[in-house]
Amino acid sequence: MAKPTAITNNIRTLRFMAGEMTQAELAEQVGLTRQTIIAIEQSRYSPSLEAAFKIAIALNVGLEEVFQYQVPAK
Amino acid sequence: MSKNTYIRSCKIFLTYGLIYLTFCIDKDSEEKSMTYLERTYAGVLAITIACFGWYFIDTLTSVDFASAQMTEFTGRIWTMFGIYIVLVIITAIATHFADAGAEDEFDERDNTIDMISERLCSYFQAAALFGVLILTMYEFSAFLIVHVVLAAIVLTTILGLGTRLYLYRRGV
Repeated sequence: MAKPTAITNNIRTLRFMAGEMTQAELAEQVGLTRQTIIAIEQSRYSPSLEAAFKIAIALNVGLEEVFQYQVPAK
Repeated sequence: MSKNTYIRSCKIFLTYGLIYLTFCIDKDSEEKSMTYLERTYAGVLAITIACFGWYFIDTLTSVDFASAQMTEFTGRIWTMFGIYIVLVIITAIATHFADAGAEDEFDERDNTIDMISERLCSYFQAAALFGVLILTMYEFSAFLIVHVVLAAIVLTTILGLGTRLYLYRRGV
């Protein structure tokens, strides 16, 4: 079972809103592989800050609209 | 398990493994998340386990450690390395044709997974090196030392590939 990261995201929704952009198209725009985009969407991988900014720019929204940080319960 | 049964199982395992890697993974699925590197790692892992598993089971069950001479096994080790390299090349070619163009894809996630895996392997290698140092200091036979080194190389490879595959599935 995949271990979820503390960072969640709305990439799938935002892709749909950005003209039904495919994972492959987004991957090409941000310079990642499609599998990494899938891993990010499924919260199995937290991208670098640079990649996060690139994703936000590609989706034409702010960084905080794409990614949210869930503070772990103590 | 007899030697022949084991060899037959390995052949079936390898054949179906290669067919699976080549044809049965849906590359275009939205949820499909197996990279080119993952496929290659899975193929090489299967081959490593099959080839060296056969060698070690065959050797360890038939040899008398007290009188074993390294020269009797040199040819067998080279043959096994030859088979291993050929199978790895076949896997690479099969994966290349199954996922044409994807072999250049490498990004930050691959780097992160590589780093974690290599760090884990380095601990194991250091422990193995220390073990070989002790065997050499106490003048154990060349046969034993060579096989401990070979086992360390094989286990490090399996650990490295297994860790990578686990991290690709589990996430980092």
